[in-house]
Amino acid sequence: MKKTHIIAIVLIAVAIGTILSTFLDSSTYASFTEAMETPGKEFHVAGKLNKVKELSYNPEQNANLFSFYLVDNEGMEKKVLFNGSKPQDFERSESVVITGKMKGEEFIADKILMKCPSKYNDGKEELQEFKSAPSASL
Amino acid sequence: MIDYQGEHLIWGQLGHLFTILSFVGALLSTIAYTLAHKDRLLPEANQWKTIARTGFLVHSAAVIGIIVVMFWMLFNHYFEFHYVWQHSNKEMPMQYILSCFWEGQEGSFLLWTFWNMVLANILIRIAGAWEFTTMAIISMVQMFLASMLLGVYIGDAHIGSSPFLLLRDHPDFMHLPFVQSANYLESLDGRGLNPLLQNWWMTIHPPTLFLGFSSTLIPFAFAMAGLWKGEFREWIKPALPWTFFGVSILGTGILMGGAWAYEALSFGGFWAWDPVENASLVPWLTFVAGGHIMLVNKNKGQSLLTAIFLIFATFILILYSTFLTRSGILGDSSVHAFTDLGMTGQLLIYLLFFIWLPSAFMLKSNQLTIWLAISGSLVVISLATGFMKLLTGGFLIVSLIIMFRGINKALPKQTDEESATSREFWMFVGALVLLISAFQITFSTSTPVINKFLAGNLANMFASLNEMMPNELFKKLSEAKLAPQKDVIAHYNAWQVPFALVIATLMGFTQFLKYKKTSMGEFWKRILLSVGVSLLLTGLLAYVVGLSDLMLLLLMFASLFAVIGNADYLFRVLKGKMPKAGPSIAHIGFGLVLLGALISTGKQEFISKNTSAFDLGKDFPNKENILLARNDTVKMGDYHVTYRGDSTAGINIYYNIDYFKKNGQGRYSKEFTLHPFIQTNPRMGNVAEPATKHFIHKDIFTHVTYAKVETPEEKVKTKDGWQDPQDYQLKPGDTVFTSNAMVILEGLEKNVDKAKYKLEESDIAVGAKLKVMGLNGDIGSVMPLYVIRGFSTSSVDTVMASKGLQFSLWKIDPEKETFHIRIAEKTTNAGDFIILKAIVFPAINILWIGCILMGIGTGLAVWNRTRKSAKTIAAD
Repeated sequence: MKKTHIIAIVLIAVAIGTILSTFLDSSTYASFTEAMETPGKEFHVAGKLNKVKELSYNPEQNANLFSFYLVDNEGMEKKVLFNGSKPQDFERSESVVITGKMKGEEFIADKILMKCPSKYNDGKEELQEFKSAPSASL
Repeated sequence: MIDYQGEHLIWGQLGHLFTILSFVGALLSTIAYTLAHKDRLLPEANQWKTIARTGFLVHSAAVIGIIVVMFWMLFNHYFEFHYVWQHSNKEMPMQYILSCFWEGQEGSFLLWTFWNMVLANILIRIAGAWEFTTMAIISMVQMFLASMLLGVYIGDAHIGSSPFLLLRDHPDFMHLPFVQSANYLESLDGRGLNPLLQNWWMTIHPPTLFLGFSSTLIPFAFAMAGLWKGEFREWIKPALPWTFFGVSILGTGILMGGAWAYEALSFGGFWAWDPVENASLVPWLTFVAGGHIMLVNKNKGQSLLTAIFLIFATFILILYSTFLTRSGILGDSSVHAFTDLGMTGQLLIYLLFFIWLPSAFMLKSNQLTIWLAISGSLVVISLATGFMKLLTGGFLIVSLIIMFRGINKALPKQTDEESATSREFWMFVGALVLLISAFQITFSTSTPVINKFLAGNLANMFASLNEMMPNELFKKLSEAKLAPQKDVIAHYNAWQVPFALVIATLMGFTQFLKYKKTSMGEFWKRILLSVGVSLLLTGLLAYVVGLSDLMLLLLMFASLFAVIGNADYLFRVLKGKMPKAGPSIAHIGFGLVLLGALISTGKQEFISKNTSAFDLGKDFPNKENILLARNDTVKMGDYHVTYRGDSTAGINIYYNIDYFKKNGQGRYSKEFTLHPFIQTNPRMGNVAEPATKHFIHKDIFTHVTYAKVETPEEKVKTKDGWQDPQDYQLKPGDTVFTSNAMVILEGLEKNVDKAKYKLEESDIAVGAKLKVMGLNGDIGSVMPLYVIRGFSTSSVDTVMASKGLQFSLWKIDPEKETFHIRIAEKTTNAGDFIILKAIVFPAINILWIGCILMGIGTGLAVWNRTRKSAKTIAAD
């Protein structure tokens, strides 16, 4: 076998590996209903903040706990616990994407992506991301 | 009709005229250059050339015209124009006018067009025999870019988005009542530049990055011209200096983006694998690979197909990244993509066109007609039927196959294999690793595109496959709802760290090889020293920074080996001769970038751990944020920090945080003060910006993650005074909470030092011993007194200034054995705290030094190449 063939085979194998890992590592956009079917599995849930209900954040007690109520795109409402500090201007958000899993009746989020009335450039709304977990090391 | 007052319509019309001229000029230039090439052997060629150059001159002048008009409008606050209204306002400092200019999509397209135009004008002067073909390609690109600014409406669809659109003609505003009044301009102010972008990074980063984007066009034009003219190899030599110029500028632009993110944004790092960052990194990777293969080909004549493909791919990836970031398709996954201007279709067509283009060059005229017919009808069918995506995909694949086959056929068969001990073989392998690295990033970044592609027919196909063979993969594909990876950074690192490892090893290793074949004896003799030194350094450095992860240790070795190997080459082979040192210096720089990145992120440490007494259990193990009450001193990493309060300057609220260290005598001495701040912006929302303390060996990066932002009026109202006191009846051992502390009644003190409290000898005094625990675990004690003097009672209050608390013991109930304690809090107590995140990045300066060396090295290499080609031209 020629060297170029070996290289080609390795190359194709790695390429297939990257493709598969992209699919398998990716999370899924879902509703609360779907997230409740498989508790403990991670989902991205998009929805809107219920601005009538309480946003609770008591940094004196725990700077890393913020909770709110989110109505998903199918209209189901769940309490969301975010283990991080309350994002600045969260009340202004128009739509929110949370990443995390269901635990009992609550959704434990470790990432919040919120769309606010435009902050950066020409858009109508603006995205901001808030993470809780420490970023994995390189 | 309304007779609007005070509008400056003439400028808009002028701008629009320039836009059309720039389009027409580029169109004319494309056609004339194509015809000039067709008639290149005939006398007509010269006439076509004159027309083409004139066309491009018109285009160039028109582009400058558009820019001048836009600046004029921004400078004079002509808010009747939507772009001006959207990106600037009256209060904005004039130094940010450049940033306003390219903040929006239209402006950034214009910036891109401008740089292309500048480079093309240089190319016209020096291209010689390559002028017709390269300039035809470039004019074509310019034509497409110019059309992005046309803003021509055909029904609901539009071609391009004009920066000269009037606010009152904009679809979002045309029906609003305020634009119906003739003097609406009198009270109109612009929306302004996002405060986040009001810094000097925004002034230098976009032009550098876009110059980098533009610089990929020239080698692409050369490669395409090579295919067109059938001169498959000859294009490489004139394109080489352009390629390394581009590698240098694009690399600088990307790193500037990283530096900006690190210095001024609260990402908590310099690289987050955000889709927009990836979109600019990927073309750079293929560009670097392409440049190296071009070198291999120039020296040894091999790997031509790879060189052409990589340079082609680089430009296509620039277009693709433009498509990703500007079509709005990333909407849900990126923090800083542009929003959709309704140009998705247009962007997609351009992308497809340039993928298709080389296949057209590779066909003979009779085949070409057939291919044109097939392509055309495929486009029509795909638009007309529901199979658009599949047909588009098939079309792309066929185009690429035609290109590959065509080039392969035209090239002489390569009979002898490259020797595994030759430098070119391993450079080739390195280029492939870069390519696969680029592929991995692109594919993972493209999940939104993949979703769009899967949705419908393909998803249904996977659904039925999943029924036959249920598994995770088919299930995911059938849902077509792929979201970003669970842990984005870990996902990319899992692939990119090994790729970086291989690249760095190759970078060191190939320095010891020669082109063609290397004698093994000499090779081992030389390489062993470098390997030894690198091993030693790895051991030392790993010990110092405390690195133990195997993958990172390997990467550390590889990057050190890349540094040492290239240093060895620089001094041993080149004997430190500067003109030729460019590549070695750039390689050393890249090795250091990897080294700095792996140490600073691999060993980054959150020192802002929540040490409060309140733990919410194992569900919330995450401790990155720390609460700092005003004037409380809290241990944070090696430091003790005190939040001193805030100060307001302009739109920024600065939080002053002192850092102390315990010295030899056990005393605290102030080391430094950091001022992370929050930029207030009632219209756009508040933004936290970091403050970083730079040391030689590490950075302390801090930003406020939460603070109660008050308006100045609110502040004045609550600056002094006490809140209503709270009464508590406590028994020894009881605890009460204030807003910033926990107070425990420890017991009764009967032996009160009366002299200290200036009491009389005959007074009876008892004190309540109170332990005050701050939320961060600091402990203090106070003792309010209850005094009986004759028949009257009184109390001696105690104020704990550091906490803003006042305690009084006003009654003792002997029967119930309770103490009545009254606690008052300062009005400023409530909410007078901030939450801070602090990260230590060790050795991050290695990364920045590496960046600078890379810039110097590539710059030197370009200079050396241009100098050499100037010499050969002179010799000719």
